[in-house]
Amino acid sequence: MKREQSGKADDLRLQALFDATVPEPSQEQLDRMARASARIPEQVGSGVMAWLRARWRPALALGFAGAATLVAALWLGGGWGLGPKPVPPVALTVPTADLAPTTPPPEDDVVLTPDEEAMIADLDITQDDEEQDVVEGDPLAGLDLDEGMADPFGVLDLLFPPNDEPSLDEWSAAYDELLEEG
Amino acid sequence: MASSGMEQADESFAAEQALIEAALVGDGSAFRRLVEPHLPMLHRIATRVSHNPHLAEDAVQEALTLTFRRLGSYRHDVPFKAFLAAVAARQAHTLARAERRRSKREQVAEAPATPDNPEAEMRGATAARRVRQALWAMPKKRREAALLRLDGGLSYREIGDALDSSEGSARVLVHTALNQLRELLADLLNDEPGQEDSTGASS
Repeated sequence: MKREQSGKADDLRLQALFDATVPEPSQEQLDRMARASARIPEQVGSGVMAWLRARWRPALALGFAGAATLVAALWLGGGWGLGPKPVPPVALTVPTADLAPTTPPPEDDVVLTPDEEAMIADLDITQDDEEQDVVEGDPLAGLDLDEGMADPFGVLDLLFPPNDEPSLDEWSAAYDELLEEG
Repeated sequence: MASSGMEQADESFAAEQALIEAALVGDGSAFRRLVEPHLPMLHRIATRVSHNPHLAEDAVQEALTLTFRRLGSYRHDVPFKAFLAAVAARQAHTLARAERRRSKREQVAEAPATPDNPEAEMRGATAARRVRQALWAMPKKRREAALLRLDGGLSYREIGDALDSSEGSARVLVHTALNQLRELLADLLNDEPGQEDSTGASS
């Protein structure tokens, strides 16, 4: 307790010594310093400049980052003549005329000349289901042959006689005979 | 009662912040109102370091200019007084070096002064010089703590803020600084027992 009081007394003496060795400023001096302080912002510059001075490092880094981003963007975009010349996609190199939509020929609009129509009619191709069935049941019926046109030499009759089976010898002989006559 | 005190502190803090914002955009009168209450403290520190009342005014002006330049980096959780005192204490180091160079030049060139009360003047000048020498015999941070405590009148918390350390560290730093000063100035302290009643700095 005594030591604590002694320490406090020492502190007071030290403070007194400090106070005694530094004169207090007069009111005139204080007013003068206060007036001078009011002119400092004007003399030093705007607060923005003060802010920049205090933070010039991050501001500089931010500026560089922004500039680098801008250059990179220009490079990629090919602006200001920077960067590689833009190569258009392959699809864009096709002439525009070739890209014009072509109308496919209408499937049902085949125009036939009268001669073509007549030729097709002569063929007499059956397309109906019923006729097709007839064709499937009798391969020869679809041919629609005349009696005269179908077997001018009666070969079929020889080959396929209505009542009995023709023998190969009979067929061979008949064929030779026909050849000799023809 | 306590809450009323806290409200007043909040209002004072808010007013200080408004003045700082205004000063940052170039309002000279706002900057004046901001620093005017602290001018005696700045003048004491400047006079201690320069040991010349005329130079002290210039030193205060320089400290205020430096403060304005650094106002953009001011941390709003630190009392402005501590911020200002920190600038002054750090500037003191530069000032002291300049003062030492000036003293060396003037010891050769300057004619001796003729004081009105030679004996008292001599004693005062000697004591002031001894105090200054004792301060500069200490490590930089300890010296700053002593200046802020004894000439700036700052609390431990404000000293901690000014020196960018904790209140506890500031307390230890000040304690060590005062002990060293007491040792270095023991003869002067024992010679002046009559000044015990002077008010000390608030804690």
